[in-house]
Amino acid sequence: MSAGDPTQQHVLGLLYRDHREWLLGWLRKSLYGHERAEDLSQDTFVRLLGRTDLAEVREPRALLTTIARGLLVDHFRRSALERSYLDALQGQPETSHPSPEEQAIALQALQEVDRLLGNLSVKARQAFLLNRLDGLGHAEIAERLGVSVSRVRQYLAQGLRQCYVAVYGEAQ
Amino acid sequence: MSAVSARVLDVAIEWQLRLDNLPQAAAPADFHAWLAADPEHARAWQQLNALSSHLAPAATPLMRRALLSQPSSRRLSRALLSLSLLGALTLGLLANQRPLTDYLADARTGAGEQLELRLSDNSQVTLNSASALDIDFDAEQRLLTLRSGEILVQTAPGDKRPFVVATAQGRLRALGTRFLVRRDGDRTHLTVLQSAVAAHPSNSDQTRVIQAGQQVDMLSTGLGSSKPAAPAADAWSRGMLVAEGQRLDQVLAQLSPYRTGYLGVDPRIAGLTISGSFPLHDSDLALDALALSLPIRIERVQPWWVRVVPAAPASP
Repeated sequence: MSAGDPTQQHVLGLLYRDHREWLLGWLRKSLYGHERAEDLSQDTFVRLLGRTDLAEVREPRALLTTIARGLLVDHFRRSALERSYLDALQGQPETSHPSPEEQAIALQALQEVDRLLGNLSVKARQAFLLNRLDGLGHAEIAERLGVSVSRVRQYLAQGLRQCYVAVYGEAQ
Repeated sequence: MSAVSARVLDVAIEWQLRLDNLPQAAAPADFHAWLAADPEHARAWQQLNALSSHLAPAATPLMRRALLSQPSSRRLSRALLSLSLLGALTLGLLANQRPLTDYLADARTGAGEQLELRLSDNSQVTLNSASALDIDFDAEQRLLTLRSGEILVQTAPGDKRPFVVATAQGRLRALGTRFLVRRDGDRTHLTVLQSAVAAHPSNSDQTRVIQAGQQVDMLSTGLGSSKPAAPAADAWSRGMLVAEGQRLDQVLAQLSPYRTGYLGVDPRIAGLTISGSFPLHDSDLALDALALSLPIRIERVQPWWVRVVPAAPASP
């Protein structure tokens, strides 16, 4: 069955009709009444479009909240990153501020790099970027971060692995 | 290009680290032998070397700072959300929107509640936890009297009547749009987020215009010096407590109006500093999040009697 399947569309329509308000309420509560709730509830239903097993779903609300939670996590991550970007921007002279469009592009790029760095600690991120982008050697990074050279090696290995998996998928 | 096997990736990473510390073109013969031994090796090598180009946006100092500045708070929000999987998020925050068309309305919130009001002139007022407000609009002025707690005011443009927030310490006249007023014992605390507010203590001739991005303490006898506003001072109106390098005891003091009962802190850890975002709607969740990032323990003697104490020292 494809997303264009009439049965599938019918089931999705029923889900939408019966649970949309409820999901919106749930999201509003989780987002503290934020206006993003509307978008996220819409996105949640969009995620269902590709699913072929909707007719068998016994607990539609459990499924909806599972999907919505994933979207919420992304949302919180994004807004935290956005906040730190704007904070970093504040430290700059106003004349060098990028235009709103440039900011949006920069934020998107930032989110992508952040996704690649995943759960790496701040130090591991720092070590990895110093090595990959600034070309610093292990000893120099160790001195900058105040950690041992073998720790730096661990950070770099973590960084390479994390980033590799994020770009190419899990190694087989 | 698909991923290589985990074993090949391990060896390729090992080579990356070894070659890192060698001058270029000094790669030993056994590296070249490894590279040539299997097309998968060459692919892994190529893929690893291509990663830097994906990281390129982080090359500027600004982007670098943004990426490195707050993973701690992101880690916290992840922790919070995983906790919320247990269903703790069901405790909602009262964020009603109710129209107030009349004069002389009183609005009040209990501990842990917030209330959003739209006034008859379309101004918007949000009451923080444990706050009480009188609303008194007439032909001459739009007057709010803050009896206790804190409000966030967003005034509507296009109304000629002055918009005034009165407290026991004096009057604050809005010259613009968005500001916070908090009652705190014998003082009123003002933070201006947009435009400006004229502050006039009740027992003084002094009037000072406080500009956006500034905060000031008002006593009935005079104004303190203006200081830069705390970052994210209005985060509570979005259900969040945002701490940036704040002392633990200050963070707990901001959390405590959202709880009923006793919340104590051991003086030995009161001065630890913390950065991060915490949900106000479920302060137990926030406390657990604090315990994840500081060497502290949350001692729940009773649900209404909680102490924050140093984490037990690691066993020797």
